[in-house]
Amino acid sequence: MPIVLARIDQRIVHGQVASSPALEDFHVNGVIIADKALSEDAAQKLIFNATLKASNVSLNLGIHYLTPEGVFSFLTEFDSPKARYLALFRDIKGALSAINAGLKLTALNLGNYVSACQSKTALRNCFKVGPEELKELDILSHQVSKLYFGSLDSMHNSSALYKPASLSKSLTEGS
Amino acid sequence: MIELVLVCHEDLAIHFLKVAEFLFKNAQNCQTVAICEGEHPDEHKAKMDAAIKAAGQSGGPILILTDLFGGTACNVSLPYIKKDKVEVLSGVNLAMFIRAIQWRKRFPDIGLVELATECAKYAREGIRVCSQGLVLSSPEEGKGKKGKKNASDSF
Repeated sequence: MPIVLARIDQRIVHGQVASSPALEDFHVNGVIIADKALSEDAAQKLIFNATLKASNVSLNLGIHYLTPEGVFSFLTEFDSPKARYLALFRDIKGALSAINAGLKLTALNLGNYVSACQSKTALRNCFKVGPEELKELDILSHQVSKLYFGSLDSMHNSSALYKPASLSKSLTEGS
Repeated sequence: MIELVLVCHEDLAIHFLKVAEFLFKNAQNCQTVAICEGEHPDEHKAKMDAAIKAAGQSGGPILILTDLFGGTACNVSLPYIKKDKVEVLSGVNLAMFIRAIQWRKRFPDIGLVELATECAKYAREGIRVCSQGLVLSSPEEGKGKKGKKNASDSF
């Protein structure tokens, strides 16, 4: 699969993503934003495009707004050996939908996500999930070999790895 | 008078305001919003709504100053843009903020876009590679050149 970096981030595109050194390190040349609502939001697309174009890589394969389910068919249809995409998902559900539609990911960065649930588990300060999302994350952990917290370039940092067994130690909020 | 809302990552806005208050003592009518790690987007919106509401009480137009263009602080500010009522200016630095505080007071009838444009210009002018454009000479070089003033004399 031509996806070299993938991330769950509720804010999708922002400074932390656009200025990440990982974009250069992984020679990213295109971005896939997998979110149904965004694929229909022209104003938000303008903002995200401007931010990504100001990043430190040249995105000659473009910025593509797709539904999570549409990512796999897009990559199959426009298959290119030169493609090195960054894929961004708004939530766990979106990443799971993309995988269920056929997308293969070897690594997925758990970047920024704060559940709207009253009772949530803080896996990290910027990654807080509700009970349903915790189940989805566990399903995801069986389908993606490496789930890691923090920034995009924390992939090789062992302390950033998501380990389902460590959940018992995590902090529970609002319960 | 144009109201100011400073929207930045973490405590940056509060620190900008602290410095401005130190310089001017009366940097009033300036709201701050801290966009913090680990917050839900609804919390960002609630903070923004509160700041815009507070700033809007005078009925004057509002200039939002944010830090990084494309960053979350900027992204959460953009939906508030309203022609002649609310403008967003990104890339805030101390020069920009100071200009906004001074000029809104000095020119009470200044237009919102006019103020934003002036602040952007002033902020850019304050960004210098300081070794370039200034001829700094050593004391030895200055000897024996009576009457010839060099750039370092002005410091």
